[in-house]
Amino acid sequence: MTVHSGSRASNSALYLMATIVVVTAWYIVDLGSSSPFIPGPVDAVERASEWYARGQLGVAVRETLTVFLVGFIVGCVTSVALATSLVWMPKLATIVEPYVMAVYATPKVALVPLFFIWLGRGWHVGALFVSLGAFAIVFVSTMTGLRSVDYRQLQVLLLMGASRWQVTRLLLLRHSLGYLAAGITVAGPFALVSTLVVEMLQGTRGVGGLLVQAAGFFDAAGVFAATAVASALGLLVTGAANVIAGRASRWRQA
Amino acid sequence: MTLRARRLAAHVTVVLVALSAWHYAPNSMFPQDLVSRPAQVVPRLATFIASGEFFVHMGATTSATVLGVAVGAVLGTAIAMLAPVPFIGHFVEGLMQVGYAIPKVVLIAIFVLFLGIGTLSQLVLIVSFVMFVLYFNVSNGLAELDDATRKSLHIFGAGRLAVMRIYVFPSMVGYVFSGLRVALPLAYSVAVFAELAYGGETGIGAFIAQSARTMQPSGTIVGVICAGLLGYCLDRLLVRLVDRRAMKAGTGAIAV
Repeated sequence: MTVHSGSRASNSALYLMATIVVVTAWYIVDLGSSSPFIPGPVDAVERASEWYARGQLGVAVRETLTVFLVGFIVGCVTSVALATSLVWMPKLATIVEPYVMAVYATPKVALVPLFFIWLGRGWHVGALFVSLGAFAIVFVSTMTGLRSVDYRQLQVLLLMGASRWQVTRLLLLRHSLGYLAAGITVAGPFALVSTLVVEMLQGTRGVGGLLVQAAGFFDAAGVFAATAVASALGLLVTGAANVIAGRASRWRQA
Repeated sequence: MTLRARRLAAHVTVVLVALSAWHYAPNSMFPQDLVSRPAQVVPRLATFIASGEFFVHMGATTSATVLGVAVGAVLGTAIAMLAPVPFIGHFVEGLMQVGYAIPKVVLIAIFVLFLGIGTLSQLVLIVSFVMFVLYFNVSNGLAELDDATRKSLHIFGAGRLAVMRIYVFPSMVGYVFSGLRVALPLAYSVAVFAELAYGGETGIGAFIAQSARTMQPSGTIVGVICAGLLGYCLDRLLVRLVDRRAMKAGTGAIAV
């Protein structure tokens, strides 16, 4: 999804304006209703600061970010490594690729209960699940980039005595960087969603766990507070992914 | 041997080796009560289909996915059509950008709080995903529209509605379908997630969750296999539908 109107500054102004309007609308709805299921923004902020004071919020955010970062980085590194090494092993590539595509196509959420049964409920299960999702996305986009490498250029480099590692570094990685960046802008937010999915299904760790626990107690203010924290993380990750992608494309042009 | 036959042979070998490793692995390495065995999974699959459970669960997930995609597509397209409206269009754009960045899976808790556990909250969650995909696709499409064509249609006497009918809508067909291609697998995953997290009685996700909760790994594996197959079939079905429709519409502007 590309941002197709205005500069970055006007976009952040747009973000801010939209957020302010939504929170104001929320506040007005809260003033007008007496339902206990619609907490106001004030209640949500109160609950969040309560969590913060007890140290729960910090722990939860740290847990979520750890699983997200570990899973995302492992997924990206392994997919790029596998994709670039498959270039040098075309026979293996034809065998491996359909299985990666199968992983790409399966709804990976369905696997989470199996992971819990097999591997327990620690943070590494979340990281594994997140890395699987990121792996599939980044692998497919990197592969697309590698396919568009000029084959003659590769041959010429080899002919002139470049080592495989040099060709990989100078030609393959450099060429597919744009595709890799595109993959990362999709995979980053997706990895955060995967992290929250695992935490919600598991119910004890991270921001997702906080949310499920609040929902379990019918604590509407807590549900809204956790949702707001998750949304803030989402905006942060999306922004960071866009910045990284921008850097990558500038580096490639340089 | 041709290349194709050799490739097929390689795949058959891989699958056979994996299956027999799974079947003959020592219990100490792969405990049977955790990973099950092919000899248990196959009969479980057979009873799953024979008892009719298969059709109940698959039907529930399929209908939720399809309905969610339909509603979300209509909503997303309608919102995108607001873009030319002077102030509102700009504001909606900002709202949708923020909404897109929010990890919407967490909203299931709020929906369950308001709408209760079951199909309705699942449906709303799916709609909240699909809407955004279609919105961004269609508004990209609208930005590509040619102003000169529109103006010359006006000069030839076409009214606002006529321009919509003969120029804008036909040009959007490709964008809507390519959006659907992205949205459908997403909607399906979200449907399964909603069933796993707050599963009612039916749906393939609910079946997986129930089997996992009662420590029946063969049931869980059967569920995962069925979930994968259904996802694949839905995607193929859409591609077939899209290809035919797109040809009928004569746009050829499908960017799948």
